[in-house]
This record gives sequence, C-alpha cells and structure tokens, in this order.
Amino acid sequence: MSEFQPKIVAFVCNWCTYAGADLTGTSRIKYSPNVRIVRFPCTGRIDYMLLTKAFASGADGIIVSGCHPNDCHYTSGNFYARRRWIVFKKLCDFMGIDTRRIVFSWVSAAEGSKWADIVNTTNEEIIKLGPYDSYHKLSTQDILE
Amino acid sequence: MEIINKILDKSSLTVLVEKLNASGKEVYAPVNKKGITEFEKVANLQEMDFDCIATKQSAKSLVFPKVEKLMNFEKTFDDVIVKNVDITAFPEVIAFGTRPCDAAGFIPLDAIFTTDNVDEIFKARMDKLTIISISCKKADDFCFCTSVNGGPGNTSGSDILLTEMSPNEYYAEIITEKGKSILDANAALFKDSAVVDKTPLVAKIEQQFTEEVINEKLKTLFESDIWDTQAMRCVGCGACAFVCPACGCFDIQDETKGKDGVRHRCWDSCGFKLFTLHTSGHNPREKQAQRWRQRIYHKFSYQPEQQKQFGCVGCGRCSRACPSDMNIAEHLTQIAKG
Amino acid sequence: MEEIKKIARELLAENKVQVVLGFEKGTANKVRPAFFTKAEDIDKLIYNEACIHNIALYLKKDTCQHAKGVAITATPNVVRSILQLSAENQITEEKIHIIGITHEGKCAGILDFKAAEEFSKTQPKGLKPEDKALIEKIQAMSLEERFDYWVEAFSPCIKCYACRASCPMCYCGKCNVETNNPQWIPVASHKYGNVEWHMMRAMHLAGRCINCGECNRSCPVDIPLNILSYMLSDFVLDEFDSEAGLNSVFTSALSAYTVVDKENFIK
Repeated sequence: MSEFQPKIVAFVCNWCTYAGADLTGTSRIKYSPNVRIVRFPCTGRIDYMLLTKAFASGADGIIVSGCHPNDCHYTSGNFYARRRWIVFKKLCDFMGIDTRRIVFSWVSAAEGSKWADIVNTTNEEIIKLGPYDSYHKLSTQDILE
Repeated sequence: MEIINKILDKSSLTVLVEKLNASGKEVYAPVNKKGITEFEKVANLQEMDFDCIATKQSAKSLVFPKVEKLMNFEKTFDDVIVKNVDITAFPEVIAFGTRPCDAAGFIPLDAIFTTDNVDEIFKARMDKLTIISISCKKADDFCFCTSVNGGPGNTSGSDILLTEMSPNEYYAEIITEKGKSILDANAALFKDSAVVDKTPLVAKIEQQFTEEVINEKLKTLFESDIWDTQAMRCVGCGACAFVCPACGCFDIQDETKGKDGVRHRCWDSCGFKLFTLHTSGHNPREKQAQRWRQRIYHKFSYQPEQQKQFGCVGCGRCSRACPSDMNIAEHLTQIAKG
Repeated sequence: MEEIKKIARELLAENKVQVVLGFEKGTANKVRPAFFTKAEDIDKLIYNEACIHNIALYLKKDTCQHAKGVAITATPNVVRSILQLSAENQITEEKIHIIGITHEGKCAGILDFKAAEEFSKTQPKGLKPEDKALIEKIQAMSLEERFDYWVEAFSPCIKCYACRASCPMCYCGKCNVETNNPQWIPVASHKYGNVEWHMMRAMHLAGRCINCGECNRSCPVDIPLNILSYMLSDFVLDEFDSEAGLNSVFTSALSAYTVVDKENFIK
C-alpha cells in the first residue's frame, strides 16, 4: 500500500455508537480499517482537549459520535456535548484548525450500517485532504528537529 | 585587562554592524515592532530603536532562551539512546545596543549557571556572546540601577560600552578580550581617544536605597508582616521573573512522540504556586506573600551572600511589566526606610 | 469621587466591611489596586479613567476571603465580573458591598445584586471597534492563513500566565496547565505549547468571559488574546442567547443546554 492511509481516531460513547460499531461487525459489514475506536462512558465525557491531543499525536481525522438527541443513556450528556461541539467548532474555525477533519455524528446501537458509512466517507474525505501536516508539524517540530 | 579608549563615528558604527553581520555573527539589537521594542536579529543599524530606554523583555534569552533543548533521546527495544545538543554549533552572537543594566544582568545569571556545577549549554552560549552596550542618555521612573551598584554608564558585564558624545560620535570603551578582538578586526573604524568623563553624557538616576541598609534590614524581616502588605495586590503571574535579566529559575520538561523525545529547559518563576508544590500536596510557600518574600530575599540576600552580588540590576522591567504595579524599587525603599 | 469616599468611609467606620477594594495612586503616574482597612486611609482612595483594572479578581484572594464584609469600587466590568462570580457560586451577596461607578465615572451608590443586574444591563457594553475589526480581518482569511496568523500571534508568549492570573473568571485552585498526569498542555512556551494553552483558555472562558479585556491589558508581550474570548462571547450570544455578567443567578452557556440547540454539521 503506497497510497496515503489516514489515521482516524473515533471517540464514541459506550451505549450507542460503540454498540452500533459492534453491530457493524456482527452484521459482517466491511468498513475501513483506518479507524481506531476509543470508548467513552458518554459523549459528555469527551473533552475537546482529547481532540487536539489526537491531532497532535498524529491523527489525520477524528470522528466523535454518540447517542441521538433524547436517547442519551444519561438523559442529557449528549446535549451538553452538542453545545460544546458547536462552540468548539467555531473556535477551531477561527483559529484555523481544519474542522473538515472532525466529523460529528449520532449513531445508535441499531445503526450498524450508518457507522460503516460514517467511517468510510470520513476515510475518503481525509484521503482527499491528505495528511494533517500543519498540525503534526506544529506539535512535533520541537521534538523531532 | 585595562580599558582601551576609542572614538567611533556614527557612520563607522553602521559599518561595524554590517561587518559583524558579514563575518557570520548574529547581531541582536532592540527593534520596535508594532509598538513593542524587543531584541531581534538585525542586518543593519537602520532597524534599531536607539530611543528605547529598556526593551520589554531582557536580553537573557540570547543565552537562556524561554525553551532550550537540552538533549534528544530515542527509546530502543532495551535501551535509551541520548543525543546531546551540539554546543559547538551555537552561533556567535553580538548583543548590540544593550543597556548597561542588561549587560550587568549577565553576571548574576552566569553565576547561577556556573557556580558549583557548570551548565555546559549555558556556558557555550555565554562564551559565544559579545555584548556591545550603549550608555543611557535618559531614564524613566522605573530605573533604579544606581541603587543596586550599577549606573547608566556602568561598564560591568559589557565587552564594549559606547557612550554618545554628540549625535555623530560615540566614545567607545573596550573592556574585555572579546571586545578587543572586535576592535582588532575592525581597527580602521576606531579613532584613538583619551579617557572621557561620562558623567555629563549619561542620565542622572537618583539612588533610592543602599546595599548596606537592605542587607541589614533583611536580616530581621523574614517573619515580618510587611510581605503580606506588599504582596496583597500581586496577582501571582510570572511576568516579573520572565522579563528579568537576572532571573534564572527553570523547569525541566520531557516531551515525547512515539519513541522519540526531547528534554527542554523552560523558564519558571518563584511567583507560581506550582514552583514549590510537593508531591505530597504540601506547599512550603502556600501564600503569595511568601513567594514575593522569596523573590526579594533571593535577589537581595541569598545571591549577595553566595555570589557576592545582587540578583537585580535595577532595569525596572518587572515594575513596567507588572499588571498590578508591584514596583520592586518602591518596595525596597519601603524596606530600607522602615 | 467624594461620594465614593464617603460611602467607603462609612462602611469601614460602621464595621460593615473590613476591607474596601479600590484604587490608589501607583508609581510613575500609574494607578493600582489597593486594599483599605481603616476609615482614615480612605483619603488615598482614587478613581479616574485610568482605573481600568478588573479588581473583582481580588474577591477570590485571601485578603477578601478572610474578611466578613468587603466593599468594592466597581466599574461596569467589575460589576459584571461580580455577577458572574455569584452565578458560579464563588461569592455571596451578603458579603459584598458594591459601590457602583458608571462608565462616565459617576458614583451610582451601593448596589445590591438586583440593582447591580439592572446597572450591568444599562451600562454600555460590546466590543471596541478595533477588536471587532481584527475579528473580521481574521474571519476573512483562508484556513491556512488563520492558522499561521495564530501560531505567529502566540509565538511571543512566554507563558507567564498573566492572562490567567489577572482574569477574575480564572479562579480554579488548580489550573489545567498545572496537571501533569496526564500532561494536557506542554509546559514549554514553544509554538505548539502556546497554541494549546490559548485554545484551552478560550474554551474554558467561552460563555463565561465578560469581555473586560484584562487578559490583553496584562499581557507583557501584547498578544491580542482577548479576541478569542470576545469572538466566542459574541457567538454564544447569537447562538444560545446567553450572556455572562448580567445576572447573579445564571447558568453559563456551556453548563446548560436546550433540546432544540441548532447545528448543521452533526451527521
């Protein structure tokens, strides 16, 4: 494989998207192996610093996913998360951090095929965008040079 | 070595800076960028801000940068390979247009890094630094060099000290061997001169307190509540320490990326709570007043005791930078009078 | 001015407060925050247009924490900070005596929180034209230009944390930069460390910042970092109709939600 294979980190909640991704597997739906899934108790726990840390550690794309609104296992975790993402996306845009590389989604435990879709389209999008060189360079230039 | 007295025209000064640049040395001088004057690399004298009383930050970052790489390391299967920084690759640096207080600031800084243990990286940078200072024609309300054994025409720390005699002429004192090597390489630019009395040429700065009085007072003030009163409005940032030419405290930080890593030396400040926080959670300097006391004692008691000089050169940068007007000279005067 | 002094003197004389937080003449023509504990010292209390420091900061420091009652000479920005601190349960109304000062420098008397809310709403606010212009300039840039702009703008940062130390809303006992297991923000003030630090700060102040500009004023290297929180405050107001510093009981935008929050990017 000589062509660019992106590193995608997915931050998902335990109750919906993780179970959804599980269903993708048990349903034998094929999807891109470039994604690394990190399981969280709830999207409300997904700190935005984790996203920048992922980029700094070499991720080219990020997926953040949890329960659909009104379906949160903890009732409101995803509502808090939604607000935070709205603000965080605005801040990233303003600071020149490439938000095309951050995909937010709602994937329920029943949406195995949606999960495969999200991963595959993200993968294609990131391949088009190429590696996230500017942020990787920023975060490692002092270490590697 | 004995001081050599010379005279330099302004035009020769311009040529000197160009020649220094051409000889591969990096010349740093005060440059006004968007209203803030800082030491920046310059190609010629036109870029320099001659009017600036003191740059916002000191010149210490030329030898003690805010982040200094100490080494790289790489983890292998059963070992760690350490790659030291190549200290021979450091550039020859000229600090041009520093003030006598900036130059004097390198003396306590050098003492911090070379007493007992010699810090090789610092020493290598220091060895390659030549300081060409310009005496101060004017001072502001924050300057107090004359109270800490300095002065607007003081030669200590400088390799060459220039004093403006007229808009077109500078009196040059060649103070050290480093200064002499610059003179020897550019001898044609310098004219011979007799000793010039600098007093009418430099700023007048009133002495606010004396070393003896501060020494005497600090002996009994450690438990005093004066620190609480003085530090009440201190917000606890590190601006004073970071702009100070003589503050040398640092923090060692490792950063890694996969198997590769780097060890950095970063500026730190005794004004921070974290500076003395123990792993146990205990903090010997719990209150801001204790941290402020440490700052004063370190500069005016511990350093004079151990290294025979103040850890302060009276440049007034800390007082200019302070968001809540913690004026160190005012506080010391208060201590001296109290 | 005399009115402010009179109120302050009375409060101290009647022992309703133990500390009056205000301004005094500083060194070199500066003014500076000052703590007055005796009625006779009030002669030194001053107020003029140079008194722009946000002294609400000191309400969370030892001197005020240990006092039973505190009076504070409060410009509109200080009043807004006090209300926001109250909204975040950091101070209580019984303890604080607000001596209001309008944006024109007139004494507005002692304000209880209800009056302070009214005061805060009627005093002019909003961004300065130059700040607005800078925000618009940055928004007009391309993605790469914006990234380079901020990396460059943050590069002089020396991490003295004066922005944090002088911010009344940065009252955390332990800041995120002080946690080192894991190390969220690099300690070193290299480009990467600076970007992460300022991003984290902006995010933590989103919806809580009262736009006093104190961070910018205290920055020794003049980074326009207030722009980040200004932009976010503006955005939060537009998006969630939520504004900090107007109410003493209030849930900040990011500590709240509605089920109908609108976005157009979640798949």
